[in-house]
Amino acid sequence: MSDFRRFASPHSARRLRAHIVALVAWLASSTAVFAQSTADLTRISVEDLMRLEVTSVSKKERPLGTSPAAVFVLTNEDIRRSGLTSLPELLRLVPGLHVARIDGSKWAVSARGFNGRFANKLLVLVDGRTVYSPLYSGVYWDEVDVPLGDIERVEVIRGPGATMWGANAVNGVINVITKDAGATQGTSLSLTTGSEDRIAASARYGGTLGNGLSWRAWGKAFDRGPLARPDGSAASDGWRMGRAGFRADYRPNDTDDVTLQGDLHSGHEDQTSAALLYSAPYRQLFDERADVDGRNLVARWTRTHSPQSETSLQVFTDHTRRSESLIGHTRSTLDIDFQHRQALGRRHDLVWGLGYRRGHSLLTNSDLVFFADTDHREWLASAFAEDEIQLAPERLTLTLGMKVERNVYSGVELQPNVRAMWSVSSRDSIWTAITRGVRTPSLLENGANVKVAATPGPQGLPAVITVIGNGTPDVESLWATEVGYRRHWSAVSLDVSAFRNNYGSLFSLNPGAPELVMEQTPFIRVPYFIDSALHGRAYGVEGSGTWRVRQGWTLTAGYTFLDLALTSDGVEQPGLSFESTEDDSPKHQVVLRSLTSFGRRWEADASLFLRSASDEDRVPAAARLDLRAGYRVSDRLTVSVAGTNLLDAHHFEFLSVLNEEITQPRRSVSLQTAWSF
Amino acid sequence: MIPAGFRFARRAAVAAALVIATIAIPVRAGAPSEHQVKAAFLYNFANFVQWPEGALGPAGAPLKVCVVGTDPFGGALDDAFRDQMVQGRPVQVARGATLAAVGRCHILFLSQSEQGRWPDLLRELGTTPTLTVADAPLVRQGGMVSFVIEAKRVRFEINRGAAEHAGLRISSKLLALARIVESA
Repeated sequence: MSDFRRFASPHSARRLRAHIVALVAWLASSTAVFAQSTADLTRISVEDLMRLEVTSVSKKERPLGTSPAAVFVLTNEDIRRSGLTSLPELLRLVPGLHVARIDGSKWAVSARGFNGRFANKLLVLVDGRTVYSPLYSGVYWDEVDVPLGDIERVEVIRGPGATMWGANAVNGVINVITKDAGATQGTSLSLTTGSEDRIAASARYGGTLGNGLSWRAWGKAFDRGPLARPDGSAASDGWRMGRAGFRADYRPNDTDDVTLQGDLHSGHEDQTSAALLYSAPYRQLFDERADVDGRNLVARWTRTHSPQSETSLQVFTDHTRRSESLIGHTRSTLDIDFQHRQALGRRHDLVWGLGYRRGHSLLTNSDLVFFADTDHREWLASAFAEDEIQLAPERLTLTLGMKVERNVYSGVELQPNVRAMWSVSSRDSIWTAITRGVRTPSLLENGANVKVAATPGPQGLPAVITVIGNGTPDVESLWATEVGYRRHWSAVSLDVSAFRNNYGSLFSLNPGAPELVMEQTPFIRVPYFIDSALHGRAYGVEGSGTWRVRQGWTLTAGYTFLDLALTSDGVEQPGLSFESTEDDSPKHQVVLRSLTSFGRRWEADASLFLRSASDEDRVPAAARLDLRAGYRVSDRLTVSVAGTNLLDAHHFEFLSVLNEEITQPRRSVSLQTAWSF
Repeated sequence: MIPAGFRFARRAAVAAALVIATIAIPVRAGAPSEHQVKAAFLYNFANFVQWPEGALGPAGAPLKVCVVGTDPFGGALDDAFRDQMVQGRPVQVARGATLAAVGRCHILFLSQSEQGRWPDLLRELGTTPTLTVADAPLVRQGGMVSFVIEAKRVRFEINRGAAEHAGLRISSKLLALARIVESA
């Protein structure tokens, strides 16, 4: 306990600060030389300036759209014109992702199947900071937020991406990248009021201090109203959250790039949870309030030595606290990441890196969840190398990569990666990849005892179904084979990818012998042990296209097909699995968008989402329509009206077997005003 | 007590930073950087362009040089104009994400980060007397000046028509050194 506090104490924060100050001071001392020489340059003639030889150290730009992987990029403009106000909701616009709302503050997000509140095969990064929770190797989406206007882009990579991106990137990587502080100068205010976002406000101010240092500070807060119960009445799942942060970018010269950023948040989330009773009715819903808060600090330094060589070092600390009836969890993370890119000759471009992450969790047991060890530490160390080889310059590229990762639970894991890309012409390219991904084992699988449900048992005693995690024998892994094709015409671009995944050692539940437990109320424990007896295969196709019909009118379309089949080596009880089963992501999903601007002032945008039924038809097929109209009053002031879920009063999106009440997103309308000066 | 692992990690971070710093130090030296030279060019442009009457505001009002988007100059732009008078005026450097954020500028550098929006930005500017400059072929999209790198040297292209359309007169000396381009 005391150790834990110490890690997050001002003492260590001070030390970190001291290191950063030292670093910045060192960089600053070297700029003095430059300052003088730039001033000198203004004293020589234009003719002489033209004769000067310069060192050009532009970074090697590797546009994501040309990499041999299934990628999709959501731009700031896409985000602004969606009218959506939260990060997980924005992910609905990305072909290949399945996003479902569980209740007001909970989402299930996944790529290529296995969706659930505890979906665990996705790596989510915010400006390089990993945000998945070691508790279940998944993401608490309510904790992940940034000012949406400050997002430069959201990169989504489907398929295993562990070699380059890090642990847990089994089925995909979501990378939220915010703008450089230099691009967010001045004051920006925004206010949203509506039926779901009762009020949401954000403010940002950005400035420069000369010498290449720019910064911004921001704050945002919202009060979101409840979603609907099946009968249309208001659920008890509204939430409020406040968040503030800063980012400073220091670029003293052409070679160095230093970023320091951080934010903190605090919120209260109403939710309806279920209590387990040892007599009829065995399960009872009750309203509660979950408290979440957290803070983080990221420091990153990139140095471009030459167009051929670049190093970067990133250190972050993250501290979050979450308290609800199911479990209380406080965790601290320290992560250090170093990368070096070096071109070798004309054909090889090598990237290698080292990473280390250390986490400390303090858990508070509840009636439902019990950890024998509530003070838990884990660590992860990794090394990777990847070589991009130009087999035929500009035409054929081969990428070979390997990541070696060591974690506390399963020891050393190898994650190799082979990719090839053939640029058939300047307009089209074909790529293929074979990769292995490994999911980081979670705390729940390594020492939790979870009471899932109670039922009437023999001799009038209650039977309590209990999931017990004693550490899985094997770590979940995946071999993925992918192929993709991209083509650009003058006004149309097309991107199609197909994959086949072979999963091994997936999480499964293995029934054990019932036993009598003599507690205050005696009960019969029906144990299910967490095992790795499930394996399976998935295949799918994802496509997206953009058509610039004319100036000011763009149409985009995305389609996702997924087929997942799992089989078990042992006795499987799918109804009990709180992991996802085969059918919890829809087989077919479509997203269509139209973005139109009329002159300089008016914008009219629409998004249509279609999906087929899932969960053995218990979640019906659905269509959703969002509309937005924007009006630019002046260069500084924009007003927009957005409607979401316009086709029905409310609809069902997800099914869960855990303790929360599932609620339904409603039709909502909001008015947004944005003012910048 | 601080857990041993954290202590190790912190020490490792500092050690790594020092190692990288030592590898990195020899890089600086020698030729000036590309953007230092470009900043010096902007200083020269400010002196060799004549703005229409009234565009520079009352006597003594500052000449405003702006960057829209990510600033590639580092501190070089501030350094180039620090304590300098241009056409008898002090110079103010402003940065922002949008035209609205920087306000009325006399020289506007459009960052590569906004390349997708260049046509929109130029349209938004219309015929305001602002000298538009960028790193890539802006001149072909209706902008006024583009920097190009040739044989490790900074050169520039001027779209004379675009400048004249906005009422700017570029000195013949500068035109003689530039490559003249017409809008597509």
